Amino acid sequence: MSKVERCAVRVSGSGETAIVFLHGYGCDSGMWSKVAPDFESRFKVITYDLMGYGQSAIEHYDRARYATLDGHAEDLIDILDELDLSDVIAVGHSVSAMTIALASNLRPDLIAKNVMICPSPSYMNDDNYIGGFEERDLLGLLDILDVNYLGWASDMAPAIMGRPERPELGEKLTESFCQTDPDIAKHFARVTFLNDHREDVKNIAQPTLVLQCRDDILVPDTVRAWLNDNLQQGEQVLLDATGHCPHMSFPEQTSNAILAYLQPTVAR
Amino acid sequence: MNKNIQPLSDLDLWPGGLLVMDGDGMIIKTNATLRTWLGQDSAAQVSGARFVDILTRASRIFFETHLRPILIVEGAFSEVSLELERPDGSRFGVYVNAERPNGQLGVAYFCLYRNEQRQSFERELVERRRESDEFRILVDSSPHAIVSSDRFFRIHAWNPAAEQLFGYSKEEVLGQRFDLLLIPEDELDELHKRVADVIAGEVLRSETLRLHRSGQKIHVERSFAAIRDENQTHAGFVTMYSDISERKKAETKIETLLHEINHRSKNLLSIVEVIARQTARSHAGDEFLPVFSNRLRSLASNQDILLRSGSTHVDLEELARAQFTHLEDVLDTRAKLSGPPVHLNESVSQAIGMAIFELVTNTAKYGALSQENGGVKLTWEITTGENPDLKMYWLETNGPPVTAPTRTGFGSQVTGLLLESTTSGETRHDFATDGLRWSFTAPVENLT
Repeated sequence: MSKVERCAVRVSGSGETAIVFLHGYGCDSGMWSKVAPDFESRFKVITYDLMGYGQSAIEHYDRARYATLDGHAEDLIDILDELDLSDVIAVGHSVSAMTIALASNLRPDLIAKNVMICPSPSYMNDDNYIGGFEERDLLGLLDILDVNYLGWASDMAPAIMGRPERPELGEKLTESFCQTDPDIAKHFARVTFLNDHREDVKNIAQPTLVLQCRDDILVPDTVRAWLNDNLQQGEQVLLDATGHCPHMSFPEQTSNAILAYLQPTVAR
Repeated sequence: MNKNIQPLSDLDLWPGGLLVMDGDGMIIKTNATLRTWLGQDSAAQVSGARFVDILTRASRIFFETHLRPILIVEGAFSEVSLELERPDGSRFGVYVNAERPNGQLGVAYFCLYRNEQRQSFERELVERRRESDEFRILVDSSPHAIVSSDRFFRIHAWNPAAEQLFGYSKEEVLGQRFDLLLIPEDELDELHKRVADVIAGEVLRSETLRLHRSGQKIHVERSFAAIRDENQTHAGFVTMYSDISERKKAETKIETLLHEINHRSKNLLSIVEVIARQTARSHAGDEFLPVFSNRLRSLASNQDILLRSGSTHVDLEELARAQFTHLEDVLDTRAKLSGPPVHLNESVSQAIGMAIFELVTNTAKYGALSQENGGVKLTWEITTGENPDLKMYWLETNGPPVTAPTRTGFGSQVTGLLLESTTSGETRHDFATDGLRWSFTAPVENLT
């Protein structure tokens, strides 16, 4: 099974340059439904579900491989290779902003530009850095995930509770937006919130657009300042938007900001 | 429509929290109930705050990463458990239903219900789930085979150690009766007799044999107990097996060794008795002790070789060399040994060892090695053919003139009759004037 199949890759639009969208923690590629169409007239648009989410083949969720974002970065590289693409524009939301950073560093030939939406290189506070969160917040999140996956919260109820002997349950799962196996959700929560990618961000050589929102509880001002100081070729834009998912709440502004940044590419 | 029913006006009196959030995530309306829960008296205190501000930090992450996207895409979510936090840091749990009314992009309506009791129940369930996860890992990683079944012995759990021990995969055995699968037929009755005791609460522990998939019986230590549900109703059985075949092998080996030590000790004592009797016959009074001690020393060196080789077999060359320990300076110069590797069994090695010792002692005292230029050659060979023989030759040269002994002492016995009777072989003494020649022939099959 190819990576393109495993990660339910969808290709639409037309253009010489390809743009790939990676969704963040908690949801799936359905997040891009209001933004991706804005790019279809000028770009080849690629969206896919991160392994473990949406319509990905979750039986391939290997806890060792996906214990760090490297596994997801390798998936992105494999997908671009399988589609025979290069000089791609990579758009990553939230934790996936770090995934595209890793892939950019590993394969500069594949990725020409990065767009990071509401990124944070590290969520945890340490001595000289305020990421905004402590480990107990993560543990609290794991509790909430557990409680809400127990069964009666109908919107969060997983159709699958990690029962490999009943694969037919896995198919239902993919019909609902933002739902996944609770064990995967908890595993990916740890990967998202416990890893520190500050050094990886410092090493990015490609031009990188950073879109931030005014009021994003996951990205405090200190993190935005750190990104300003440490991205080699970064351009940070503060959207007139709030929350952590501007591509969903404020899709037009988000698309416009990205298109404006890519204008030279579009004109060519 | 009944005219007595009034339209709802005072939402502040409702026993549920109500809240309206705008597209930016700001709280624009709350009812008094929610404000009371939050410990905030005036509407102004709450309005103007973000919705996420009344959540705990963990709930904020969950709301932003999961719930807000769902609200945008699906338009609603319901019965989600969240924790709210008051300005003083105290917390309480709520269930939240939320909806974005048609056409009103961004604005969302929230109903909140206190659910502390259910939440404590939820926490308990989460705790149980974690415990059961831990328990599952414990069982999966156990080095002991763990098999659980229903009341009718039908297997419903079979851990990796059980796959390893019995050779069946989990898929193969689920639903099968473990008593028919694993217990040798002649033990089935015994087990079925004891089932009532087990159901009554007894745990059966014993060392026994169980069947591997190949049909082979394997030694196991087994404990067998009944499973009871929370009403103390008998629900099934759990059996744990430890593989004790290595231990059993070791026990058998120890037992064999003990038998062997006993046997060897007795043999040794009879040999000592023979030596004592024979030595006493020819060496009376003060002469007895040094001769007797020397002969015992030869016996002891044979014993050392047996122990060193760790088995019951002794290499002939090693055995022969050991007899020269008190004449090491002539070994390989005036005394030469050569022959192919031959492995002798225990009793033969004792007999041959003592024979060589007597020859060595004799030549050192009276024969070739008592002279400066004298020499000794001990050689041996295995003849070819269907029933090969071992042939050994002792040849002394440049010694003093030899005369045949006039009486048969211990030396003649061990190099003659005793050796012949132990090995069914033949010995020859040739008292040639230029040096003693001795030979020994015996079928190899009697020696190894």
